[in-house]
Amino acid sequence: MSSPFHSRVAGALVDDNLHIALNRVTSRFTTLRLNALASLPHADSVRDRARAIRAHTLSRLDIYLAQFADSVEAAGGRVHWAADAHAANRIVAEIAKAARARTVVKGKSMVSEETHLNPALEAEGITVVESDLGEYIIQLAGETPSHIIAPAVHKTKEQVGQLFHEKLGIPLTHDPALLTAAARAKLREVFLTADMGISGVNFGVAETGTICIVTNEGNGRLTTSTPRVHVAMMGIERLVPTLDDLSAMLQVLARSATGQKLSVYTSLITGPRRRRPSKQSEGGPGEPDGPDELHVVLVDNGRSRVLGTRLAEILYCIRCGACLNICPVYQQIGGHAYGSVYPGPVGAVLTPALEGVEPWPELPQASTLCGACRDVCPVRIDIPRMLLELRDAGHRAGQTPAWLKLFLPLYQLAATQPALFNFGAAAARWITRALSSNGWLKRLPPPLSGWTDHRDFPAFAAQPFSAQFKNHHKGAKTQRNTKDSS
Amino acid sequence: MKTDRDSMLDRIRDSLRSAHLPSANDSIPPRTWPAPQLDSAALADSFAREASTLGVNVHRPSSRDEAIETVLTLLREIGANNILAWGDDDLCLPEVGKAIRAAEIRIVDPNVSPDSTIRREQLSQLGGPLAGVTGALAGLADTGTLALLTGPTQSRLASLLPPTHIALLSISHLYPDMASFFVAHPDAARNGSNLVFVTGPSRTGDIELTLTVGVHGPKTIHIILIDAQNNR
Amino acid sequence: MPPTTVQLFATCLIETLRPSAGMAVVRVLEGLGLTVEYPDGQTCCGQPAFNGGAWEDARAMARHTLDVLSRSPAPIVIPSGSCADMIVHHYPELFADDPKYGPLARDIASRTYEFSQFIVEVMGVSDLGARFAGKIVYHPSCHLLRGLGVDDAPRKLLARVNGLEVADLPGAHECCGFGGLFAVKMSDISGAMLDRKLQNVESAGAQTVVGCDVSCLLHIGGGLRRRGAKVETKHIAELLASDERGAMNDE
Repeated sequence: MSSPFHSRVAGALVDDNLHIALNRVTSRFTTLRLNALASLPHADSVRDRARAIRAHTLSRLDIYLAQFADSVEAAGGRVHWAADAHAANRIVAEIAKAARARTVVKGKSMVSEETHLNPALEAEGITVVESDLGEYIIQLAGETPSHIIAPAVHKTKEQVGQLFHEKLGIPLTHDPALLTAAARAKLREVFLTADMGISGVNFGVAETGTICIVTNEGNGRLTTSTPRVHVAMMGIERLVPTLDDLSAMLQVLARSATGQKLSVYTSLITGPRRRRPSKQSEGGPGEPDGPDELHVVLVDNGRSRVLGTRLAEILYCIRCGACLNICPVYQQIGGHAYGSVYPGPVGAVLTPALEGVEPWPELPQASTLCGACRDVCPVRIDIPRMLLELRDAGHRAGQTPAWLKLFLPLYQLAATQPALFNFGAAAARWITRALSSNGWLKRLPPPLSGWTDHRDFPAFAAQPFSAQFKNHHKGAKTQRNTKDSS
Repeated sequence: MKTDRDSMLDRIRDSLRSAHLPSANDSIPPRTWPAPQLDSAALADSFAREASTLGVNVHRPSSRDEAIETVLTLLREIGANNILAWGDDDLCLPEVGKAIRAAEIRIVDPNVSPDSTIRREQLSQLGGPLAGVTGALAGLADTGTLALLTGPTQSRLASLLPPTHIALLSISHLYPDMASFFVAHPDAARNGSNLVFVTGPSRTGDIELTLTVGVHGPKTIHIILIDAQNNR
Repeated sequence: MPPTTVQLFATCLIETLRPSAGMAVVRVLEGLGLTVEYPDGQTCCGQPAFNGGAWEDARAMARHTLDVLSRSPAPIVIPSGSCADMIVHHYPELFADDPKYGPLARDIASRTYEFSQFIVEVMGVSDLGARFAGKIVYHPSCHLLRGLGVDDAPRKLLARVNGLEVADLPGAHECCGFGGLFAVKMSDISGAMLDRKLQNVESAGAQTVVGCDVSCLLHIGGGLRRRGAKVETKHIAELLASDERGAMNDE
């Protein structure tokens, strides 16, 4: 197995540090989530309703998106429509240039990772500083996030300490409190001097044109309050119709993500800061602080196309990360092994959905379909169903390995012709029994050798079940005959 | 020429013809469980309990004078000579503003210019104060959350930049949860550019999931619960 | 009224690799007074093809299976959570628009049960008078647990086995890493997941791992064997068929 995916997986499986980190984050978050949901009255009904809200909104996405855009503009914001990643990056760069922004501070935005915004801005000579601590860490390290909620989860505190020592010049320490304080000081400078702030959007509210941004650190608030210009990048599917619907989504988001009842800061931003209806003589804005310009960049980048497919359900996702934490595959390989911006179960569906199966043949296969993700999803997304749909698409695209392409039709033939099935089973019985010792085989030939790399394989049973059953019945008939004749 | 907006909406409409959206209905189903009903005392107790669990310091003064004294004592303990603060009338107890000034504590001008150069200078001044004093639009009892809304004399930064945030909240502004708050305040989001729900002090677990408090936002929060019945 | 006759769909794995489990199932069902039919011509439910995305192949196997099972009106008992889940949930999906096999699939799905589910939920029995001395852990296979929503039934049955000590299995709900062809296609990840399951099994200190799916048991058993562990695997029927003498009569 030599594909890039398999190399990444192989590397991850022997990375002890990664394993310690993954165990820590996944087990902690899964426990916290369970506790947080246990303390939510009517949790099942709340989740059902959250699902209904997402489904309904997407079924009328054109209407709600138009309403949202109109409401943002009515509140004094500007709306930009980005058909794809290239357009999104171009729009943001143009806003930055018009604002003469030299330094941009960023809150966490998965959409901006998806469009690879940072390099596009840097190519224009703009300095971009990530303000979420996890994102800041990986930016310093030149890496990509490995988890949707905790981007630097794969790093030990020793690794972070070394990184800060090298890049920030602080004395070597691995005390998280000291490291955080160092980041706070550095980033505070950036917050107070950056010309432009870029954020993501957790939810847009159609009725009011409100964008809701959820963070714990305060970087989301600062990014969207101190700079003169605020750019909010939003995937077009991240909408809810009303504030009441927003409250319903917020009831499950933080609980599913980190086990908190609510994240520390839930910011509802409606337009740039208010201007007092001004007479000529009254100078100055209506609010003392806040950005003077708000730009909402609506990013499609394949979402409108996915909406028309059997994979549309993946657009219900609210990016809580619960599926990552519970996934037994993610727990073994971590986020980077997936090779995609969105890792874990959601990424295994979303990435090939947005980009096609051709560049991502392994992602839909990297699952046992155990269903744990569907169990924990706050909006009950049926990820296994969509992984199967993607496997169907992959098979039709010819991605099935050669040996399976050969084997499956043969197996199908045998399974529909019992005599052939029995013959094939008899042959396998003969071969495995001949090659086995003490009833087991230690090595199967390729392409099945993957099995015996990790476990023994049993020889086929001496007598198949069907034959044993017939004997059992014969014996019973004989008994009955004997009884009857007595 | 079709606008980008029209193109995108057309693409969406096209897709909706063949969309497979399980559980989608024509309208959003109503809640099938009853809305929480709590009396004022129960709301206050729940709020105080939830906020305390998050490490918030909750004060329940038994008189207006005690409330004012609490604020002044906290500011003295921190050694805050200049602070950020909302306008007097936004503080739940207007006398607090007067008392702060009487104690010779300077309230820094919160206004930030749209001009980049002046703005930078002003922001660096605003980064100095050790405490911010605000009122609150509301409190949410199920999560110990403060709802803060921007206004002409209600800055965002007062509850964000200083390491200590002191909030005065009237018990009569407590709601059982966010949904009931929005029922009572349907225009809240429209009335100000920023409505923020604050649930505890700023925190992160990004380094090995070790909890660190006071990252970019305030490290310490004091909520002074004001009971109108105690106004003397 | 509980049924008097059942059809047994043995599954390809029991047919070829673990017939003793199938005979134990027959013994238990007949012990309940049921007549057990073994429909001729049964082969494989088609799940490996379905999971591999080869849905046309899967449909061919499913049509064959539906033909085999629809000759009798009796309910169908399957000693495998994953095969039962395939028939109950995926057959109707595969033939949603098929005028002949659609109704057939829905009918068969409505009377198909996993073995432990059938005994407890349909026959209303949880005490089979079984005896098995030993300390075991129960591994809930994913398709049984989450696909069919069956967990109480096997646990109830095990709780009534005389002499049995059921130890707590840490991380019981974690997938063992079998996943069908996943075990071969993604064998390294499968092996890592298996290691974790085996560590949990070892820490529980049991001598036997019991499950309702031979597929998981094959994978777990193969791993135990590779480690040289003295722990064996048994299908739940093999415990439930054990009688007063504490051993099952192998035929």
